[in-house]
Amino acid sequence: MSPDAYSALALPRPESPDEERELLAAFFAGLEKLFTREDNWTFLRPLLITVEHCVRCQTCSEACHIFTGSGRQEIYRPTYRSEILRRLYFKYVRHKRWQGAVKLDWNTVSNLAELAYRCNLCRRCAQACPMGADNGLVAHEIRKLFSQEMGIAPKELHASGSLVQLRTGSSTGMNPAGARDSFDFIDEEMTEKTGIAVKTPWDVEGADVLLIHNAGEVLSWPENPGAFAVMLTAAGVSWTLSSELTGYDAVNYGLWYDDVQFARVALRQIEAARKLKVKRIVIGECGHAHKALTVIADRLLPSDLNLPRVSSMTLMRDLVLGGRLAVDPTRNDFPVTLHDPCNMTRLMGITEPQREVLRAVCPDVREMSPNRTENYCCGGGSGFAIMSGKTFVDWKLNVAGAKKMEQVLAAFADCMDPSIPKYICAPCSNCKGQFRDLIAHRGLWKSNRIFYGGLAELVVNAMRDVKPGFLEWEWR
Amino acid sequence: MLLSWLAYLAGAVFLAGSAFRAVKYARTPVPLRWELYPIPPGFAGQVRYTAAEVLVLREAWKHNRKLWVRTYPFHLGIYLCAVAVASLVTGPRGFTEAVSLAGLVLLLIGSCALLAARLTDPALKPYTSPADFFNLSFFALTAAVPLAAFAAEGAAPASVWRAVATFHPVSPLAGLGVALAALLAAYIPFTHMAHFVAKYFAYHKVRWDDHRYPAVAAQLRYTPHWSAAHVGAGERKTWADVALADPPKEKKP
Repeated sequence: MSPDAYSALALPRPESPDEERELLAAFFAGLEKLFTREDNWTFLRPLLITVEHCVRCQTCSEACHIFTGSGRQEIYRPTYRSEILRRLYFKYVRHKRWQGAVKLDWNTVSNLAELAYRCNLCRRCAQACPMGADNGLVAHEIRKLFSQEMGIAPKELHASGSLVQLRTGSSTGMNPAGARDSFDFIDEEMTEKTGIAVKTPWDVEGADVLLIHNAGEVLSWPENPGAFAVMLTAAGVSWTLSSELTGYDAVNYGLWYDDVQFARVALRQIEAARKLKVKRIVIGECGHAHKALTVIADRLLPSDLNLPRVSSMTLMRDLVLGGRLAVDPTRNDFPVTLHDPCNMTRLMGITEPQREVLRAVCPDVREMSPNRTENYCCGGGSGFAIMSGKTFVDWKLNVAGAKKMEQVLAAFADCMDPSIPKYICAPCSNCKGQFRDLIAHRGLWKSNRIFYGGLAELVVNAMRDVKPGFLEWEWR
Repeated sequence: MLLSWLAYLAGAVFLAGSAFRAVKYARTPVPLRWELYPIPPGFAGQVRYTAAEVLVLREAWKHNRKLWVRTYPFHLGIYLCAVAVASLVTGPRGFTEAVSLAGLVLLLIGSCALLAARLTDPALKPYTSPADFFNLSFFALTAAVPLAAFAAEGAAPASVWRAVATFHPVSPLAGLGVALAALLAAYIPFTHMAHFVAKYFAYHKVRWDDHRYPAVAAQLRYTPHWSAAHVGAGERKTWADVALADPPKEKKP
């Protein structure tokens, strides 16, 4: 049962009245726990404030790229799913009348489960709210209810995601030996391609920097971790990767649907750094990993585990603007637009380091509008970039990604001719995945030579010590 | 006499109810960090932001002008009535009368405009509960009655409030107005209309708060009861136990 023609969860309809009763009882138990301090201390305060004080004035609707991108379909209004939860809460948990009609049945529950996955959790709606309510958080909390109480979550996030990461070390399924092999291969490629002898250091005790990439980069865009290896080697940074389980994969899908899985992954990542006695953790180009390990995990960590955690955006800025990497911006002689990953910008406030780097290495940078903390999500946020579900891909490309593509096309409006290569700089692995799919879906690489990639690749492409032509402009 | 006691009691209930709500939110566990940028820089920046939000409803102005033209008169009306009440003792009589009348007129206009929008706007109507209609109607009536008393009986609102405050009798319609205002004031803290309390916590204790709190250590000793198999909760397991453990292996059917 789905409120639209798509499905992220493909929940089967209960086969008998008894099964339905069981499911509803489980949902109700989860609903109660969501509002209990022992069970949901992690987000009870903002959840209560939102549920008790949202006045449904709909100010948030126009801020939502999914609502506007869908042609303003009612079910995608940020308040729509929140209103269902709010009414359920008041009627069944608080036993209050007069707060609006709602019926606790399978249709309501299954719609709510699906609707929680029609929000990118980008919290642009919250930014617009005059009351301080946060309907993005409500979607997050609904996802938690289903996962933590009923064991219902998209398989890409849970069964093939965080569970695999905790078991094998990476959500990609890549174990430590596999990771080292992959990086050996990347090192060889980078050495040959750049002329700089690269050897990724592993498990170096006391290194200044423990770099943690989104391991998906290794498989889908190996030139990104490769570019980091080139930069750090050329700049003479003391750095290392960790071969501890989860120590070489920065992703933390729990951030999107399950506090328990979130805490497990974050604690293990930090433990990997503690064991190596590194001075700081640097998080590669992955927006949600930035927010997960730097911000959300912060209060979970006891003092001895609260190691400095910084963004690769600031590290790159220090290297490029500090003169440790000599760059020639004319090597990036093509239009570039910068995508702001929501997790880094609106949710962490990192807006300038990436711009300073970009301006130093690219002569033709175009801002999307709006940008920085008011950016629009790419439509792949909160796990959608890796989710396929039942026809879910169609939705994330046509609805969730519509606004972002409008922005991209506007930024490149004066240079759409295919003779001019164009680059969307997306310093986030999930955003890159979404851009890859959006560009392919609209045929924009073939017809207009719109390409995408990370920030590190642009830096290395501009490095004077690197053989020209690091960027290959080959679609993948 | 009874009306005066009712008014004072309502004022006390308003203060106690608002304090109760503030304590309720203050006593919720410290959440995980959940900031939202841009965050106004420094204490002065936060004060400026808050002042603009309270005095001119800046976010509504910025993001929803249609709402602002309705809700600003409503809120300004409340503020002016509060100013009039606060200046009953020391304020010049003419000033107090003018401010109270302006406040009541704006409150009536604002509440009627909000009510009309809730009744007719297809984006608002389905999301409006019976309680919302009741609340807005209550405000409209509370503003309309003293204005009617002024028109029909010449009972100027501030004079009426001053008489009630000093235990002097007032005309029946004016008395009804005071009774409604008293009941409304006592009712507000127990509804979502007490967002003046919630907003403080939403901004200062969630969105703008990146501090670490020792209280979280105690919260990690809470016992979660989530039932999904991968959580692995158990009677004696704390949040810390669960987070440090691997997910239990799920049994194959």
